[in-house]
Amino acid sequence: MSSKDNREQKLLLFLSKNQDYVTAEDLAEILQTSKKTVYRLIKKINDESLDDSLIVSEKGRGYKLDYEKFIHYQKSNKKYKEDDFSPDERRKRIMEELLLSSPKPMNIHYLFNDYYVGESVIFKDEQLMSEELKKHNLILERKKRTLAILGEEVNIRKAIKEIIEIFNIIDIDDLKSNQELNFNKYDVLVILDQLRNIEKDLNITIPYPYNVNIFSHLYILLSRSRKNPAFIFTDKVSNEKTENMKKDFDFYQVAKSTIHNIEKYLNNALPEIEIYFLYQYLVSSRMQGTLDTTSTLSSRVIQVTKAYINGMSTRIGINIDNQSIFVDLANHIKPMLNRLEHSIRVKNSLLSQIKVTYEEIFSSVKNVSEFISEEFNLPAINDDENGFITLYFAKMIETSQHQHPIKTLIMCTTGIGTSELLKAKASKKFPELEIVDVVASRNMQAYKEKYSNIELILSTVHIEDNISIPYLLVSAMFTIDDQKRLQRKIEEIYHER
Amino acid sequence: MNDNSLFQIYFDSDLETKEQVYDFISEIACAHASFQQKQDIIHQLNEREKAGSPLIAEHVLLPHIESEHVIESQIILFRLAKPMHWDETIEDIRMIIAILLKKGEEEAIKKKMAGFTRSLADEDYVERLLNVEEIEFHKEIIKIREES
Repeated sequence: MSSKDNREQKLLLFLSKNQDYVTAEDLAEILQTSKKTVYRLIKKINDESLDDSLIVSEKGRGYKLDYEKFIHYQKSNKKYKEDDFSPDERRKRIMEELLLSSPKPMNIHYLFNDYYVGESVIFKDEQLMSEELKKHNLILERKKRTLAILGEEVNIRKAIKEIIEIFNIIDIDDLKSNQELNFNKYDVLVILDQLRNIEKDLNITIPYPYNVNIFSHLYILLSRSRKNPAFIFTDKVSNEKTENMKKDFDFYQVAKSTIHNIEKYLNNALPEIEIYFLYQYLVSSRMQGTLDTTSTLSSRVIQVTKAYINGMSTRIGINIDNQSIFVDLANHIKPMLNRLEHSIRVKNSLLSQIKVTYEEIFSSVKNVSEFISEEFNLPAINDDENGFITLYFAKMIETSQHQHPIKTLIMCTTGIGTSELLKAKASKKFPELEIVDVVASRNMQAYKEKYSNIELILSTVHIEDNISIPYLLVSAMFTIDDQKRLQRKIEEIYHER
Repeated sequence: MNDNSLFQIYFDSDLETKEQVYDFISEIACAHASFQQKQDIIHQLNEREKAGSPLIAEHVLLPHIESEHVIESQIILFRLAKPMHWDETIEDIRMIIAILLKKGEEEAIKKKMAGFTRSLADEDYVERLLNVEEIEFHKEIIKIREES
């Protein structure tokens, strides 16, 4: 992605995070660019959006995102532009073709034919692709008028997964109906069937993004085998690793039968090593169900989880004593350690959004991860993984699992009129409130004595007495504005605790 | 059907101003009481409004007071024949639900009344009350009465 696209996205994400107007100066500072560039970016975004302006402006206040349109825009923006490939897309498509047929060489003319580019562009593309492939320990070889990608099968598969963007889908059910993705429909159905079988046999469910990850592994396996039916890998798995896998009986059986089913579908034998490949993916995926308990956790998983919780609680300054985050996080850490060991990367499609929305948590997680990989002698933990972990802590903070509920008194003139109504509305929207009682305002003093530990009074009527307890006047409509003010009040109370 | 019930329903009510509504409510609250007592009720209703808006949803008002002048606790529902201009800030009112609570009312009655107000938190329910025909309107109220 070019830096310009990146800026556009950053701008949109930042605006989507802010409910109020943002000035051009602030935007320029965030994007580290000039005000002029900000104006230009906004104009460009608005010009390109389908209907009206995506970003609205008001004199003296700045810019704001039309949120409804933004959501719509995000959807429509995914549409594939058929004939119009950027240089980046062109290289990706060519690499895809080469990777799928590797190690078979392909004719350069055939590869570039559809893109109408000249010799110098082809030469440049070769260099760029070669650099990209080097990251995966693969070599782009030019011989006469052909190109070929050479390297270990594991690396080829990894490169395919990273380069092919269609694996960025979020909803696996989308695969069946989405035309734009251009998958082989029969393959998709067969693989989805296999995924269901895996889930059934292990009596678990595999949540996003791990289901997509296994899906793409199997899809690549099918595509590779079809293009290269007779190809025999040079990769070898040590006996020790194979033995370990066989000890993990359930997973091994499932991997074996899945590969067997795929052999039947392909009508072609697959090498033994495929079972090990799939096994690696299975143990690196989070599964929900009977396995989702603490009893199956190793002491290493427990230690790493604790290290995360301790590290995060000092860095973001909150007290985490909740058991639920531990279980939740530990069940994420367990397959994550497997991923690190087998160097399997799960792409985090939400990463850029996570980085912007939970900036602070993300950078803390990153720090803690660095510390942990050193402490426990693990391979470096990448940003995709840090993004996932960020979500666990963000969820905890947003749902205030680490805080005790706020003891709240609700008040109106009678104690049964608007206050009861407010109670019903507020308790639905603000689970962080514990509504202790609903009372009439004239009895204030008496209640103050009765409920000495009250932290907040929510009232639909103005209270004239001077009270020491935090108090918020809201309308019985409980409008968006009321809800925002209450949210702020809750944060204040949390802050003062 | 409103006898012995907490609820009084006035469908297609032709009340047109806030003053008329409060007058009417004070009549129901203490039918045989003195002028002064009725004025007290009206004063209380006005005071309540000063303390906080009685608007609970678009087109719906919920004035409510607790007073020793109230003889019997009641919930009075007005579905207005014509949308009402209430004051400078509140317009287009189509339904008024007044709650009159007798001072020192027993808990069981209070609970019933509270149950009804809670049901007003359900936007769909309020929406139905605003739009249904008379027979349906009664049915909706009966339903809640029996549940609470």
